[in-house]
Amino acid sequence: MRLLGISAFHRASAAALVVDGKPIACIEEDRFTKRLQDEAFPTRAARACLAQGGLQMRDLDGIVFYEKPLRKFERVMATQLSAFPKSARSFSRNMFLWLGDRLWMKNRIADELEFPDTDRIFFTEHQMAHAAAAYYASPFEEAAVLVLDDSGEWATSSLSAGKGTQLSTLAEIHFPHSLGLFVSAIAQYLGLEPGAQDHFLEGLASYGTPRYLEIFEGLAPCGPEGSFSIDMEAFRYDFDHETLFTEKLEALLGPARLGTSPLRYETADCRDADVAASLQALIELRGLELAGELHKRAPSENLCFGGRLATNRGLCSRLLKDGPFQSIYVPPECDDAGAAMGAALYVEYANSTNSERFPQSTPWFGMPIEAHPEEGAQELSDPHQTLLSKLLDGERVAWVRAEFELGLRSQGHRSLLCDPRPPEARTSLQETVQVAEPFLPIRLLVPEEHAADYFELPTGAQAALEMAQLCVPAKDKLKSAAPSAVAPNGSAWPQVVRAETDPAMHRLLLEFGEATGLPLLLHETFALRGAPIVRVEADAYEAFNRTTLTSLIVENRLYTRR
Amino acid sequence: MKLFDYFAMPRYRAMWNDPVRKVRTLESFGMTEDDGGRDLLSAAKRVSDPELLHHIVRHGKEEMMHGELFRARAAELRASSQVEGGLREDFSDKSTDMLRAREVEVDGHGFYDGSLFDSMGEVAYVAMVHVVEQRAMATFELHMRCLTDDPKTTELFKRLAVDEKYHISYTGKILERWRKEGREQEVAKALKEARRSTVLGGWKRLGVRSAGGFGRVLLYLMYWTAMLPIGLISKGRKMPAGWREPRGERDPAKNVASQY
Repeated sequence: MRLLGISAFHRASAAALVVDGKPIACIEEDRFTKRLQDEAFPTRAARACLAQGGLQMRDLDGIVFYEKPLRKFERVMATQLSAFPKSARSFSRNMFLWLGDRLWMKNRIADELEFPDTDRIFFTEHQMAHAAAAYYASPFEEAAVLVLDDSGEWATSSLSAGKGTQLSTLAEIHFPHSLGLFVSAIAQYLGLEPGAQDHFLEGLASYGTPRYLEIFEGLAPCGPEGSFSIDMEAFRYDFDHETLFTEKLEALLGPARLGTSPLRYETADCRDADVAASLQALIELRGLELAGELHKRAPSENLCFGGRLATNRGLCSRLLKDGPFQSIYVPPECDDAGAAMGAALYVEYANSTNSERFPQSTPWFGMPIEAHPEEGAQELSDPHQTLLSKLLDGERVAWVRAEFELGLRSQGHRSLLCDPRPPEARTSLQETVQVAEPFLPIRLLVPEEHAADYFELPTGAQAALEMAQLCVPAKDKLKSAAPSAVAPNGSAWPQVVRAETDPAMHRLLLEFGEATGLPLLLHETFALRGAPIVRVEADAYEAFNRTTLTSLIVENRLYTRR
Repeated sequence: MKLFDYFAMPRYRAMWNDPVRKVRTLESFGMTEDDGGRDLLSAAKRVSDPELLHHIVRHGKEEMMHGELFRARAAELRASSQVEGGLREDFSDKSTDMLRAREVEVDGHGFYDGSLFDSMGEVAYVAMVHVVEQRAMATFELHMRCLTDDPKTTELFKRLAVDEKYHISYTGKILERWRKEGREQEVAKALKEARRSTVLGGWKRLGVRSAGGFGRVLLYLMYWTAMLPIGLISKGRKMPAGWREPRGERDPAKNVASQY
């Protein structure tokens, strides 16, 4: 079957093309609109996916939307009414949106994509789209599947079991008991933008101690059989999308941080870092309990982990280290953009006899680079050698090649690289792309054969290590060789590079290692603050001009600035 | 002043008097100018006429520079007024996505698209740029009138107006040249089309805003009338915690066809 998956209207919207179970393309709309995590209907992304597969809209066997609109509407209506009369304002806003647009999703899809056959527009449950993205792309023949997300229809967390091409849900936890929304509410409490900056909390947590854990355990207590609930007296995200927490949270943790005041994490008062560390500890505890229950209901050595919280590297590492599973797989993009692919995969395997699956260990689902030389381009006969010599000279270099990545992070095709040895290497590289949060961690590229020299590596996580989805303890050798890449809690963020998957990057690391004795490179995504990963050469050139970088290499062209 | 603009003035005044909306508006103008610049530069790659190419490249770069200037002014105001947060959408903004519209304050620009040059052809494209720039100029003048106590931002608009004049002038000259080359009908048709779509676009936006506001008022009234009894019954109803059984097995084909 030729299926187009669609996710939209909640963070990054995306389209994914799946042909006979094989993911051909998965592209976020923000790559075209340049608005980071754009949630607009992914018309351009859909057309780009089809172009990637050499298909026209009429060639498709179906379009799959990643949630069930009527069921979600039921949840929105029920939660608005249960918050009566506090929900007066949000009711009119929500209902306007739903009655005016979201309820008519089938027609909207047909109109936007000029796909008149509405009988071939399908819908999956949101959790199932995440579970399918995690399971069908995994290398496992059978696995237990955990999804921890913010919200979809009713379910916010789910346990599933997969075997062959069969995937079935075993149990669910329903809205408003949501760990994803709990994290967003705490992000807002700490003056961060909920949703968009939730991932800051994990970086912040490494600077703190979990001294508020007891309070957090009261806010999200453990329930029967490994489940959990959320104390909704401290939160109001169930009906209000502007202020997600109540005075009760402030009474427990102190006044919320205003966005203009500095984050407290390095001073004598580490309150903000301690709140983040307590949240991280709680998420890991609840995650382990849920994983324990999942293992009881679906005994397996393998865990597939999807949904928003699967982006939390500390949680993934903890599940592997202390949980009942021997192996873990996290899909290349576990948030809603990846769910577009999951939706299409689910329909493929639920509605056909196809038994062939295609494991994915890279996120290169974008289009090949559109290379048109910009002003001042110099053609290179050996771009690899130029890149290596610039890195050896201590330069920070942007390297752009081949297909762009799905998700927020580059996997090596839209990258900023530099020598990790100087103590200021991390801040220097992050400042290049306007990262203004010095507590955010940075990735270290390491060739597979040298990874164990520098990191305490877990077993059973090859794909997760390749896709930089785990944080692991740094060995002393790393602490002394690349001190800026090690977090205050002694952890580091490796991205293991295999020769089979990315021969060019692998070779670069080995040659850099031969010359310096350290086969590691610091790696940051080539995307300016508030903008998505660069897509084409023109984007890369424009971004380059807005940075303090001195060299940009796009395929075999070099741009320099003095 | 057009009737349309006359009615827009109170809204613009209110917007410029609110420090948060002012900063957000300047930031959104910055984004729109960036988009315009990027799309013009992208279109420039498809232009073969050397005179047009020279102007379009300059135009594109100026739009990008306008984006920078808007953002710089927004940053100054943000720093001085301690405005929190960035250009963040809320639910009311999301509703404009229905017509694939931008932020409500964005006007004049925001009509460009990199692929338009190919799909429209050079005459229609230049005519559209010409009409859109005229509209942008009028909008900037309107904003200047509403900005009563901010000389720096007014100065910024004045500076931009000089560039807008150039944009209107060069597109006008190119269109005039094509007219003289025997393409009068093509140029006239393209200008008529561009003006019609700009006017229609304006009325559509006005329609969406009015309908949106009216619709929300109606829904608010409905909340306190028709929904009142249901609300009182449902009030405080707690959603149960703990594990829930998934919905019963359904035929896969029926399941994926259903929106519920």
